[in-house]
Amino acid sequence: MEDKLLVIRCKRGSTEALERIYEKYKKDMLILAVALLHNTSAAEDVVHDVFISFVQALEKFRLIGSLKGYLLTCIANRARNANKVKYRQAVESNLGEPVGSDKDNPSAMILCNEQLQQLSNAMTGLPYEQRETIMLHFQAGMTFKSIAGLLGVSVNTIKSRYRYGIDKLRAILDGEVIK
Amino acid sequence: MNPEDKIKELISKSNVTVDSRTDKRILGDSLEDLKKLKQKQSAEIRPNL
Repeated sequence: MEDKLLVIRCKRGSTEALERIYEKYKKDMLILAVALLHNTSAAEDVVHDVFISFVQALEKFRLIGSLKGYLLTCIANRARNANKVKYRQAVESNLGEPVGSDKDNPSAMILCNEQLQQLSNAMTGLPYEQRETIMLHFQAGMTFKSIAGLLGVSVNTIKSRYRYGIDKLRAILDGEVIK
Repeated sequence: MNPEDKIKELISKSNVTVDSRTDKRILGDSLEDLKKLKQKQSAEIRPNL
Protein backbone atom coordinates (compact mmCIF):
# COMPACT_ATOMS: atom_id res chain seq x y z
CA MET A 1 0.00 0.00 0.00
CA GLU A 2 2.80 2.37 0.90
CA ASP A 3 4.34 1.98 -2.55
CA LYS A 4 1.07 2.84 -4.29
CA LEU A 5 0.84 6.03 -2.28
CA LEU A 6 4.45 6.86 -3.00
CA VAL A 7 3.86 6.40 -6.73
CA ILE A 8 0.74 8.61 -6.60
CA ARG A 9 2.70 11.30 -4.76
CA CYS A 10 5.54 10.99 -7.28
CA LYS A 11 3.09 11.44 -10.13
CA ARG A 12 2.06 14.70 -8.48
CA GLY A 13 5.69 15.77 -8.41
CA SER A 14 6.68 14.98 -4.83
CA THR A 15 10.46 14.91 -4.56
CA GLU A 16 10.22 13.39 -1.06
CA ALA A 17 8.26 10.45 -2.43
CA LEU A 18 10.82 9.87 -5.18
CA GLU A 19 13.68 10.04 -2.68
CA ARG A 20 11.84 7.55 -0.45
CA ILE A 21 11.42 5.09 -3.34
CA TYR A 22 15.09 5.43 -4.25
CA GLU A 23 16.25 4.93 -0.66
CA LYS A 24 13.89 2.00 -0.20
CA TYR A 25 14.99 0.05 -3.26
CA LYS A 26 18.47 1.26 -4.22
CA LYS A 27 20.24 -1.59 -2.45
CA ASP A 28 17.99 -4.26 -4.00
CA MET A 29 18.54 -2.74 -7.44
CA LEU A 30 22.31 -2.48 -7.01
CA ILE A 31 22.69 -5.97 -5.54
CA LEU A 32 20.83 -7.48 -8.50
CA ALA A 33 22.81 -5.40 -11.01
CA VAL A 34 26.16 -6.27 -9.39
CA ALA A 35 25.29 -9.98 -9.23
CA LEU A 36 24.26 -9.98 -12.89
CA LEU A 37 27.07 -7.83 -14.28
CA HIS A 38 29.95 -8.39 -11.82
CA ASN A 39 30.94 -4.78 -12.32
CA THR A 40 29.98 -1.96 -10.00
CA SER A 41 30.31 0.86 -12.58
CA ALA A 42 28.10 -1.00 -15.04
CA ALA A 43 25.68 -1.76 -12.19
CA GLU A 44 25.51 1.91 -11.26
CA ASP A 45 24.80 2.87 -14.88
CA VAL A 46 22.02 0.31 -15.08
CA VAL A 47 20.38 1.55 -11.85
CA HIS A 48 20.77 5.14 -13.04
CA ASP A 49 19.10 4.39 -16.39
CA VAL A 50 16.28 2.39 -14.80
CA PHE A 51 15.49 5.06 -12.25
CA ILE A 52 15.55 7.84 -14.85
CA SER A 53 13.26 5.81 -17.14
CA PHE A 54 10.92 5.18 -14.20
CA VAL A 55 10.58 8.93 -13.61
CA GLN A 56 10.19 9.68 -17.33
CA ALA A 57 7.41 7.10 -17.58
CA LEU A 58 5.67 8.24 -14.37
CA GLU A 59 2.92 10.11 -16.14
CA LYS A 60 1.51 6.96 -17.73
CA PHE A 61 2.81 4.55 -15.08
CA ARG A 62 0.32 2.29 -13.31
CA LEU A 63 1.57 0.08 -10.50
CA ILE A 64 0.38 -3.47 -10.99
CA GLY A 65 1.95 -5.83 -8.48
CA SER A 66 4.92 -4.79 -6.40
CA LEU A 67 7.11 -1.79 -7.08
CA LYS A 68 10.17 -3.78 -6.07
CA GLY A 69 9.26 -6.47 -8.62
CA TYR A 70 8.77 -3.83 -11.31
CA LEU A 71 12.08 -2.09 -10.62
CA LEU A 72 14.02 -5.36 -10.41
CA THR A 73 12.49 -6.57 -13.67
CA CYS A 74 13.64 -3.33 -15.30
CA ILE A 75 17.13 -3.87 -13.83
CA ALA A 76 17.21 -7.39 -15.30
CA ASN A 77 16.17 -6.08 -18.73
CA ARG A 78 18.75 -3.30 -18.73
CA ALA A 79 21.48 -5.58 -17.38
CA ARG A 80 20.76 -8.07 -20.19
CA ASN A 81 21.14 -5.33 -22.77
CA ALA A 82 24.31 -4.02 -21.10
CA ASN A 83 25.73 -7.53 -21.10
CA LYS A 84 24.94 -7.98 -24.81
CA VAL A 85 26.64 -4.70 -25.68
CA LYS A 86 29.71 -5.56 -23.60
CA TYR A 87 29.80 -9.05 -25.07
CA ARG A 88 29.75 -7.64 -28.60
CA GLN A 89 32.52 -5.20 -27.70
CA ALA A 90 34.56 -8.00 -26.10
CA VAL A 91 34.14 -10.23 -29.14
CA GLU A 92 35.07 -7.40 -31.48
CA SER A 93 38.21 -6.61 -29.52
CA ASN A 94 38.94 -10.30 -28.73
CA LEU A 95 38.98 -9.66 -25.00
CA GLY A 96 37.01 -12.79 -24.21
CA GLU A 97 35.31 -11.85 -20.94
CA PRO A 98 31.97 -10.08 -21.55
CA VAL A 99 31.91 -7.88 -18.47
CA GLY A 100 35.06 -7.50 -16.44
CA SER A 101 35.25 -7.36 -12.67
CA ASP A 102 36.20 -4.06 -11.12
CA LYS A 103 36.53 -5.29 -7.56
CA ASP A 104 40.09 -3.98 -7.39
CA ASN A 105 39.16 -0.60 -8.79
CA PRO A 106 40.08 1.90 -6.07
CA SER A 107 37.80 4.55 -7.56
CA ALA A 108 34.69 2.35 -7.34
CA MET A 109 31.85 4.35 -5.83
CA ILE A 110 29.81 1.36 -4.77
CA LEU A 111 31.42 -0.85 -2.19
CA CYS A 112 30.14 -4.41 -1.95
CA ASN A 113 30.32 -6.31 1.30
CA GLU A 114 31.97 -9.75 1.47
CA GLN A 115 28.72 -11.66 0.87
CA LEU A 116 27.87 -9.67 -2.26
CA GLN A 117 31.39 -10.14 -3.63
CA GLN A 118 31.13 -13.87 -2.96
CA LEU A 119 27.71 -13.97 -4.63
CA SER A 120 28.89 -11.97 -7.61
CA ASN A 121 32.04 -14.12 -7.98
CA ALA A 122 30.02 -17.34 -7.83
CA MET A 123 27.52 -16.00 -10.37
CA THR A 124 30.25 -15.21 -12.92
CA GLY A 125 30.85 -18.95 -13.19
CA LEU A 126 27.39 -19.34 -14.72
CA PRO A 127 26.15 -18.48 -18.20
CA TYR A 128 24.24 -15.20 -18.13
CA GLU A 129 20.81 -16.84 -18.64
CA GLN A 130 21.27 -19.13 -15.63
CA ARG A 131 22.55 -16.25 -13.47
CA GLU A 132 19.55 -14.15 -14.44
CA THR A 133 17.05 -16.93 -13.70
CA ILE A 134 18.51 -17.67 -10.27
CA MET A 135 18.72 -14.01 -9.24
CA LEU A 136 15.22 -13.17 -10.47
CA HIS A 137 13.85 -16.17 -8.61
CA PHE A 138 15.68 -15.56 -5.34
CA GLN A 139 16.13 -11.82 -5.15
CA ALA A 140 13.16 -10.47 -7.04
CA GLY A 141 10.98 -13.30 -5.69
CA MET A 142 9.63 -14.10 -9.16
CA THR A 143 8.04 -17.43 -10.01
CA PHE A 144 9.40 -19.52 -12.89
CA LYS A 145 6.23 -18.66 -14.81
CA SER A 146 6.77 -14.90 -14.44
CA ILE A 147 10.44 -15.22 -15.39
CA ALA A 148 9.44 -17.22 -18.46
CA GLY A 149 6.91 -14.50 -19.38
CA LEU A 150 9.48 -11.77 -18.89
CA LEU A 151 12.14 -13.49 -20.98
CA GLY A 152 9.77 -14.83 -23.61
CA VAL A 153 10.78 -18.47 -23.17
CA SER A 154 8.96 -21.55 -21.90
CA VAL A 155 8.62 -22.39 -18.21
CA ASN A 156 10.52 -25.63 -18.89
CA THR A 157 13.45 -23.64 -20.28
CA ILE A 158 13.50 -21.53 -17.12
CA LYS A 159 13.31 -24.62 -14.89
CA SER A 160 16.16 -26.17 -16.81
CA ARG A 161 18.28 -22.98 -16.58
CA TYR A 162 17.60 -22.91 -12.87
CA ARG A 163 18.48 -26.58 -12.33
CA TYR A 164 21.72 -26.42 -14.34
CA GLY A 165 22.63 -23.13 -12.67
CA ILE A 166 22.10 -24.53 -9.19
CA ASP A 167 24.18 -27.61 -10.07
CA LYS A 168 27.04 -25.42 -11.26
CA LEU A 169 26.75 -23.21 -8.18
CA ARG A 170 27.03 -26.29 -6.00
CA ALA A 171 30.37 -27.10 -7.63
CA ILE A 172 31.55 -23.48 -7.46
CA LEU A 173 30.53 -22.98 -3.83
CA ASP A 174 31.98 -26.35 -2.79
CA GLY A 175 35.22 -25.28 -4.45
CA GLU A 176 35.21 -22.09 -2.42
CA VAL A 177 34.67 -23.99 0.79
CA ILE A 178 37.68 -26.20 0.00
CA LYS A 179 39.85 -23.10 -0.56
CA MET B 1 24.39 -26.26 3.12
CA ASN B 2 22.74 -26.76 -0.29
CA PRO B 3 23.38 -24.12 -2.98
CA GLU B 4 19.82 -22.76 -2.83
CA ASP B 5 20.17 -22.03 0.88
CA LYS B 6 23.68 -20.68 0.39
CA ILE B 7 22.50 -18.30 -2.37
CA LYS B 8 19.52 -17.20 -0.25
CA GLU B 9 21.87 -16.54 2.65
CA LEU B 10 24.32 -14.61 0.46
CA ILE B 11 21.50 -12.51 -1.00
CA SER B 12 20.01 -11.77 2.40
CA LYS B 13 23.41 -10.76 3.79
CA SER B 14 24.50 -8.88 0.66
CA ASN B 15 24.91 -5.19 1.09
CA VAL B 16 26.29 -2.22 -0.77
CA THR B 17 27.69 1.02 0.51
CA VAL B 18 26.84 3.73 -1.94
CA ASP B 19 29.10 6.72 -2.30
CA SER B 20 27.29 10.07 -2.03
CA ARG B 21 28.40 10.86 -5.62
CA THR B 22 26.44 7.83 -6.83
CA ASP B 23 23.33 8.92 -4.93
CA LYS B 24 23.78 12.44 -6.24
CA ARG B 25 24.11 11.23 -9.83
CA ILE B 26 21.13 8.84 -9.79
CA LEU B 27 18.80 10.83 -7.58
CA GLY B 28 19.91 14.23 -8.89
CA ASP B 29 19.14 13.30 -12.50
CA SER B 30 15.83 11.70 -11.49
CA LEU B 31 14.76 14.74 -9.48
CA GLU B 32 15.62 16.92 -12.46
CA ASP B 33 13.30 14.84 -14.64
CA LEU B 34 10.60 14.92 -11.98
CA LYS B 35 10.85 18.71 -11.96
CA LYS B 36 10.31 18.74 -15.73
CA LEU B 37 7.27 16.47 -15.31
CA LYS B 38 5.85 18.81 -12.68
CA GLN B 39 6.38 21.82 -14.95
CA LYS B 40 4.70 20.02 -17.83
CA GLN B 41 1.73 19.14 -15.61
CA SER B 42 1.31 22.70 -14.38
CA ALA B 43 1.52 24.02 -17.95
CA GLU B 44 -1.21 21.60 -18.98
CA ILE B 45 -3.63 22.65 -16.24
CA ARG B 46 -3.02 26.36 -16.78
CA PRO B 47 -6.06 27.98 -18.42
CA ASN B 48 -5.58 28.81 -22.06
CA LEU B 49 -6.16 32.57 -22.22
